[in-house]
Amino acid sequence: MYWDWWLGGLGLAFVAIGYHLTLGRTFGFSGMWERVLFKSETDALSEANSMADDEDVFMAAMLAATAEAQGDDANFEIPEIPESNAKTEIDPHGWLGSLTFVICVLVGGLIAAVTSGNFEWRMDLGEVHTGFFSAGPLHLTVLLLGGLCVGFGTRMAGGCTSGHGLNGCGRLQIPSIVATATFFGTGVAVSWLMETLL
Amino acid sequence: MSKLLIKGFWGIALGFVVSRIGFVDFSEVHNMFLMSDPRMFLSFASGAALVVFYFLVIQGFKVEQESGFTPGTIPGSMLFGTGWALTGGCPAIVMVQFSHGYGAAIFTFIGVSAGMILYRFVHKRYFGWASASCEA
Repeated sequence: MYWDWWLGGLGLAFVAIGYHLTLGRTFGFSGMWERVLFKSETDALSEANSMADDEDVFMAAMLAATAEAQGDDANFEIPEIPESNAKTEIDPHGWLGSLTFVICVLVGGLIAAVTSGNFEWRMDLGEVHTGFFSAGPLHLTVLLLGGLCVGFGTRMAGGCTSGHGLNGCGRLQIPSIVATATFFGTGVAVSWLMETLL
Repeated sequence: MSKLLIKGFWGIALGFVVSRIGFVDFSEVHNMFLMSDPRMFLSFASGAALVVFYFLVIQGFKVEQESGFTPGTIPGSMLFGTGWALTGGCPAIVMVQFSHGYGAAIFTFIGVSAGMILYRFVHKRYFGWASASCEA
């Protein structure tokens, strides 16, 4: 019922390579989730990026910042910062772009769920999870605390399965390879502990 | 606008692919970690291997290391691995769990969001290192 391993590998590579070919960057899902949560910081970063893209705007902004720091000692005119041309295009890696991606992952999953007849509204996570944590308050507490570990951990590590695992390992970055080995290894250890203790 | 549409397309593709591989199914994730069923791990590894090949080709078989290692890389990954094994949710999968009707994923969703907000605070307050991102 699920794809064979090779088809899954082709699918993941299709997304990672296609994303980089068309958007010129690699993606990381936890980074996008974080950018959605921190809208004002994300917007500020997008603005700074678009200024840096436009040389005239960048130079004017640098001069203005220098003049501000030097006060009256500056012997040049404080320039007006021109409107950036880059601003007319929405930053695909900014807040709206990240939100689009996050929601579209849900939509893609929905298409897959409906077309395979796997959509079913339920409050459990299937027999195996229920076998460990039943289906009551304990199960929901585990999800909440486990989610807390995922959110805190991915940001502390600087990436998750997509960013470190697929793209970072794909670019042979040593921190990503170390991170991937660590979170897979810890997943193995914790799953084994769950089998043994619960 | 066009770039947003492209981004949306890849989001849909990612959601579809990880759903079809079975990452949304907790029992499959658990079996992957117990190494009783190597199918999903092989999907992941072969996908990553193809991406390695792609980057080697476009970079002319040269690899440049960026400084992405922080004191948080290993402990953060350990926390993430623990959470993944407990919830079945590596961040993108939480969204796909909603897609399949797993209502309880709202608890994981709140947990992940709270964890990220908490990390921002803790990092600013207590951790002296510059944060690094795997994105490039």
